[in-house]
Amino acid sequence: MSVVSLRSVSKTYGTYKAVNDVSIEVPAGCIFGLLGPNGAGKTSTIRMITGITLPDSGEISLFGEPQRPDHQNMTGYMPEERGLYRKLTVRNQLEYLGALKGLDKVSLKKNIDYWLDRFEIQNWAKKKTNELSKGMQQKLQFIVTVLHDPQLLVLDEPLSGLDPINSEIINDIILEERNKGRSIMLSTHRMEQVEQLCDEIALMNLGKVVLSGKLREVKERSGKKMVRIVYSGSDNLMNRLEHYPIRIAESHPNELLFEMKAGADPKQILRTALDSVDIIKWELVEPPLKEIFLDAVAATN
Amino acid sequence: MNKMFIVLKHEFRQKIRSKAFIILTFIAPLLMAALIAVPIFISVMNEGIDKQIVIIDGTGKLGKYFAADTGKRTILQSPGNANSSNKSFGPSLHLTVINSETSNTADSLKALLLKKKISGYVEIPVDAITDSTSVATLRVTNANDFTVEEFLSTHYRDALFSERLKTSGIDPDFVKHARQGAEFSTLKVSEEKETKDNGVGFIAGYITGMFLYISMILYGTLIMQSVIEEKNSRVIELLSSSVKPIDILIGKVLGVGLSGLVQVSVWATMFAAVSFFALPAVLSSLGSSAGSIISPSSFVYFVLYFIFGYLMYATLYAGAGATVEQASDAQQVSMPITLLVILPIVMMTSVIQSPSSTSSVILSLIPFFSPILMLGRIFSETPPFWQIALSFVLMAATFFGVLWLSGKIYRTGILMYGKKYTLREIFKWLKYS
Repeated sequence: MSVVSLRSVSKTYGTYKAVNDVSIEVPAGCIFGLLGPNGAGKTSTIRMITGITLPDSGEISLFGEPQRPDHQNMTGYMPEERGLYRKLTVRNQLEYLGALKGLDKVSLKKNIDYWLDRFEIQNWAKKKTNELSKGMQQKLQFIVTVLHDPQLLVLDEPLSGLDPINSEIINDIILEERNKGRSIMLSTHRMEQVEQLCDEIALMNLGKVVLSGKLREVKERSGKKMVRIVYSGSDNLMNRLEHYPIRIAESHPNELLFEMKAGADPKQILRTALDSVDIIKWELVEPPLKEIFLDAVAATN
Repeated sequence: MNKMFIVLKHEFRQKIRSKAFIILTFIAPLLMAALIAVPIFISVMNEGIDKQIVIIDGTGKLGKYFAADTGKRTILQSPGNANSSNKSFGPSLHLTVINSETSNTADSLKALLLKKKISGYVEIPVDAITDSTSVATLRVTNANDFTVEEFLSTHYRDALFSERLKTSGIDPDFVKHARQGAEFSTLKVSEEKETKDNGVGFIAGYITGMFLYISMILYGTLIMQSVIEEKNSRVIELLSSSVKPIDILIGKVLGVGLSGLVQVSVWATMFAAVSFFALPAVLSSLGSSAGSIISPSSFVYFVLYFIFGYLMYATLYAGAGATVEQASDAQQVSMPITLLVILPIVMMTSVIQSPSSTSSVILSLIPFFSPILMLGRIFSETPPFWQIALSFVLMAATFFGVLWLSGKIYRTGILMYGKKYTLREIFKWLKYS
């Protein structure tokens, strides 16, 4: 069953087509990555899924039924632009926003205590939000999103502005929620997070979905052959390989990632490399998502 | 609907718990009371002060009118009322009459005046009684004490009048008698009774009008600030992923409105308590009974017009708030609405003076003006009931129209960031689904 199902959904603001004939299926119990450059239409799409705006045309189904206002109670949303009441205390904030998601008094108290404990911010419950540090506010924002134990989490750039420690905490909770059977839809610019977390992805550009499917399948379909070389020696390997039909994707000190184009002979390239440096590692790797992303965006622009 | 009540409850609680609310609720009436009490207090304080005034009576005939025995007298008592038992406040005058015409006296008095030994002196010219162009002059160091000038000029005029009558062989007592009984009284006629008004209706209309004017702007601005704050802190996007924007809007308007009603009730209770003790005295001195003006029905009308006016204006202000991001831009977008509240205040005087004229009827039926103008008419000359009823129908219709308009603007506006929107762009939002 699809938790989120968009069929030919379009949304226009004035004359600007933000979302153009988009169809997306998010299977239940998976982490779904919605990718795309700025202005691709990710946030506009997410706002329709969360019921903030209505599509001009097309259909949206949530949890297998046509979208209804009370689906909002089953959805937790973390907007890209974080927003909390600055002058409310942590507890009042959670009480109000939780009540608006349909939580009764008893479950409110129970859930608030659980999550404040989980993030170890119980001592801050009576503090006003604007007295919290940035990282603490991010934690609070995340608690607001999961407080009512939603079936579907919609996270717009969940890791932006987080330090590595807090990123790790959030990542862990996202995986934990998935393992509990919840579905997560997240948009992000961070390809390593997608590779680490996502089961399925859809790539948007200029309001359209240009790529979608299981992460592995998307990579296979791309047909890219990528090679990573790790070497020692001071020789500039990149210059020596330049005349081969390859495209350098990444170059670090003593490490090179390149794409083999048509007619590239791996044996010859390896031989050339061996002549100039000591090879520590030579491996055929699956294309990083970033490469696929850049290609797809370039192709549609 | 259910979530609308959660918003309502939240907004209401936030408002009545805020320091500003508590301060305003309890301090504002105290300030108002102080505004009334301080001048009275000051005049009581002044009671003990004697003002020395010397009158140089060039004619030698007028002095006796100022004081039978040239001694201490209380001013703020008109000559005609001299025998009234009303207690009056303010400074007392100590009058000394000198029958002299030499300029020496004036010079030495001037010296005394400059040394503050006396408060002032009056020079009455020798030919004051015969020459109709003569002028009596009061010289003081402080020309701002109008009570003194008023007292002296009134007495001077009366004295001059009596003396001139005598010169013409007419008995001043006869003229005095002839002038008596010329009291003119105005009675306000309604179906049930006739009452003395003395402009109390006018004052009541004006005070309630000003009160509505201030509270519409006050509560409207509160709502607008709260809308802008939610937009500015971006919490609005989170809210609208839980509640329909129109429910947020209505919950907000009703929640703040309820807190406003609480505030007004507190004020009304305080006012009622004060008027129970103090107002009858004040009004009876004006020649009118408290009951005739502040009747239960006019109080009910006042509350109803407050509620309807609030609903219309608060909803408008909320819609306006959704079009801006910064509190500093609020003034600009709220200007047209504020103007709508100011207009009826400007028209009020003419409407209350001729409450039944066609223009007054039409103006008071314009929904945005009704709370102030129709209420003003009710206080001055109760209009036909159908007009009052019609004003409520029109206000209710306007409220729903405004709610529709503001709802559309609000729904789109809360998600619009990054620039200032022109009126034309905002009208385009109405078409968005």
